[in-house]
Amino acid sequence: MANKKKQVEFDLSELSLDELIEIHNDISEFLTYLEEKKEEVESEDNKDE
Amino acid sequence: MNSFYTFIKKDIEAKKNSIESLPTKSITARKKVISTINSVKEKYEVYLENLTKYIAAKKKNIIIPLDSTETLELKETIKGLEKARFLLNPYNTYVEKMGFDSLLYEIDNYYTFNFNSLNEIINAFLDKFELAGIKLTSSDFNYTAYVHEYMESFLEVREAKQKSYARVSNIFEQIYWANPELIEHIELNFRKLIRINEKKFNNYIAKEQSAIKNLYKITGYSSCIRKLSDAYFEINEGGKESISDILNKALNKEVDLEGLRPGQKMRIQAYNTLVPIRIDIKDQKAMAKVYEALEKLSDNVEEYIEYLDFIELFHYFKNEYGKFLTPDGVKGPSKELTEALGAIIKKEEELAKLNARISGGKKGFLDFGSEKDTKILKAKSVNIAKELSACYKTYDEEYFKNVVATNFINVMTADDLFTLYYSFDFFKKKAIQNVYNLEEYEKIVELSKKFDNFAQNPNNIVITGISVLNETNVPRIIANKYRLSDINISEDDLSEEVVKSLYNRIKTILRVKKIEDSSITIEELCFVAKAEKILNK
Repeated sequence: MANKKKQVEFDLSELSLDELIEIHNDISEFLTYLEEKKEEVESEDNKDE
Repeated sequence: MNSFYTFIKKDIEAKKNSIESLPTKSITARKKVISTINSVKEKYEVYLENLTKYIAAKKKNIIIPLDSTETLELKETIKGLEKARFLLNPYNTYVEKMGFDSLLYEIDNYYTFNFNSLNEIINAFLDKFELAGIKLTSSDFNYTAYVHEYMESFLEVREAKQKSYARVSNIFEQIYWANPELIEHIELNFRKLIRINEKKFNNYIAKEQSAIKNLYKITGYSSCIRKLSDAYFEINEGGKESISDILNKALNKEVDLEGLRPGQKMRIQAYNTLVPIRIDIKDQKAMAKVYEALEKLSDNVEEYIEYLDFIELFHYFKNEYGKFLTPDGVKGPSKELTEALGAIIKKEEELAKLNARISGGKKGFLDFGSEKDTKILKAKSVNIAKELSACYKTYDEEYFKNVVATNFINVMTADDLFTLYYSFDFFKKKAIQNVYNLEEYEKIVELSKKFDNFAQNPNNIVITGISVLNETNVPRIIANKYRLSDINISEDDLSEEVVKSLYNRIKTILRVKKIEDSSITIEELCFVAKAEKILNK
């Protein structure tokens, strides 16, 4: 809930068109990073087993 | 209120550092890391979803002008006028107008290209005869006993409208071993039938010509070309690269939109190399003239690049047929052509007599009727058919030489040459096959279509100035013309190796101008292109 509340505070109309795309790319890349990191940690679990 | 841009930049950096610093040695520690990642991931997925929705809404508000329906209608008119030009073409005959030359090319190269279906080619021949009201029967296929046997069963299946030609295939198998040249002899039989039915085909074409002249309100070939030229001009003007064309090209990675932005190297280089230093690019009046000249130059360079794609064909023609171009042209069929046709007719009569004996006509000097004698006669007929095959090849060569010599003189231009090959599909495909050393039929057809698209444009200008027999320095002609119009251009810019780079620079300037003159900004266009990719993921 706290997160959602915080998001409402952001005003996307402040961003230029280029910034919107740039941020979209940053978030997409970050999500890929998170996914890869998760797999990396999980694979360490499998090694231990 | 936080700036989302700054927040995201900082937050991603911080989160990455934090995750990287978390211990992962023990199972408990790793569980904690996974839990942290999941929590961040959940939050960022919401960010991404909301941001994507916002980008979609923003993109929707940017209106890209679409192609007008007028252009589509014009395209239809052009299609119809092109059909009219095909039918009214003064260079070729009923053989080409009926499309027989394309079929003859296919059947002539049946073995070379391993076509799947001989039946389709034969059916296409028969369909064309039927269009002209000629219903062929098995008795028309009497070139050799084998051709007759094969076509008799083929026509039975066709008549019964059966889908399966399996029975015919079996007969083909049986005959093939006795007469491997069967397909070639079917081709020769069709050639003979096409020749002896000339009058009927011409009558059919005359009716078609009359109908299409009425439909498009044209009086003949010249008036058709005039109308076509106007329609091409109109479509070229109306259909000049639009904003939506630029966008589509960007989506297909044919245009680098980023390079069109102010300050980008690609854009600066285009202006610096093509616009003379003494012209201030902010001076709208001076630049209007430059843009106008660049529009024309763009068309000329595009045409020249397309011409270069076929320059080898041009050289081939010059070497093979240049010597048949005379100052006054030749009237009527050449002696060699008349002789070649005479030889065919004589041999075909000889063959017909022999075939009449095989099919049980008169008794000859042989003890006719025995299986052995029939076999001898059949072998004899196959030999004559073989000789005829060579006669037809000579005829084809003489025919094309005669077409060149009677239709053109020694001031023939590249434009004439392109019209010539466009009018004779059989010889065009043969030339393409030889010149480009192609072994796949599809590649020949592809190049042939590309050739036709170029050759049939009535508004080609550059190629009308290229002489077939004399050297023409096209780069010099183009460069000199546009230097007079304040364009910084040299002969070297138009050399084969770099002419595409010149074209891209011209297009860069014209695209910048197009976008600047429109209701959309370059930033908006770049955004739409990128948003399109994001939303279509």
